Amino acid sequence: MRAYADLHLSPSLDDTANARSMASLLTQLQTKLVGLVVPPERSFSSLPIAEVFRNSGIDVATRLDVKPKSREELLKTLRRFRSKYEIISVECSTTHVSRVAVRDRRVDIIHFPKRQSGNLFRGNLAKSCRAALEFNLSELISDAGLETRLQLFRREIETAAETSTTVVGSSNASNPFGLRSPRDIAAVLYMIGLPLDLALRGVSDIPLEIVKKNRLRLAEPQIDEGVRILRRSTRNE
Amino acid sequence: MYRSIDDMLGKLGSADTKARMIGFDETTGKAVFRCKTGSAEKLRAVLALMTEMYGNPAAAMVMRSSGTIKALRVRIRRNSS
Repeated sequence: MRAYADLHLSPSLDDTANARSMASLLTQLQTKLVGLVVPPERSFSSLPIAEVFRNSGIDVATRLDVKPKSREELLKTLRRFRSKYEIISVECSTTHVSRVAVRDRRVDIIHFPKRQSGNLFRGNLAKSCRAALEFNLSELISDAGLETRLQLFRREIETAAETSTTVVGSSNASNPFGLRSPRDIAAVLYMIGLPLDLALRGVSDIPLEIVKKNRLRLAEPQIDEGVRILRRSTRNE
Repeated sequence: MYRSIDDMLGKLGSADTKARMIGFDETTGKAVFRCKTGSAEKLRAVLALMTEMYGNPAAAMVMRSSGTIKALRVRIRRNSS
């Protein structure tokens, strides 16, 4: 059976009642892993809501949402926080930021905000993209103007499909009303234009792989990309 | 719900899906829908994009889908126990 993941949840970090109702719903929706947005000033050890999710049998990955204004700010943030978070997502609000974010291998997920016009996922940006492109359902259901945003998403998804960029679907929910089943998010991605198998991978295999790869990297920071430890020598050399 | 299908898929798409609610439990808020086999993804997407019902905030999620209603009820019962 397929394991589903929602890499973008942003509930209040102190509201355990809200987290409890979200966790119970996520369990019913067969979600195995969630990415919890944790601001840099909060320590991971003092997160009561993470325990709520874990007690419901849901794995929790820490996620940092970076919203840099410039290229320098992005690079500085990545240097500082890459070794602390399991997922790093970058909001590409300007072209300078997007150019670096799509190429830098420390960036896991990129996201193009739909409220700003001008900066789009297309052309060379898409061709050189190493990160996964995120589709947040909250952007579709939050405000009016569904048609315009559907059109923007459709264009983005088409570009991603043409350039074989990986697409990740998430809910960006802060309460149970914003939550959706990952399988339903895949259905929306399919409706927008992504092939069904890619849409399903975008809410299951791809997010799980991102977290798995980063956990390995955090556990063994000295190991380079593509190298993994099979066994260690028993002798002390 | 039917208005959401009309809004998202249009009258033609709505007729093509053949979506119909065949049961609703008010206490649990769970409903059973049927639709054409090939239209299941469309119906899922429409339900996922629903945000209100009669002016009140609401969210609809698909708990299970199945080829037959009998199998669906068995699965739901098995998962809730």
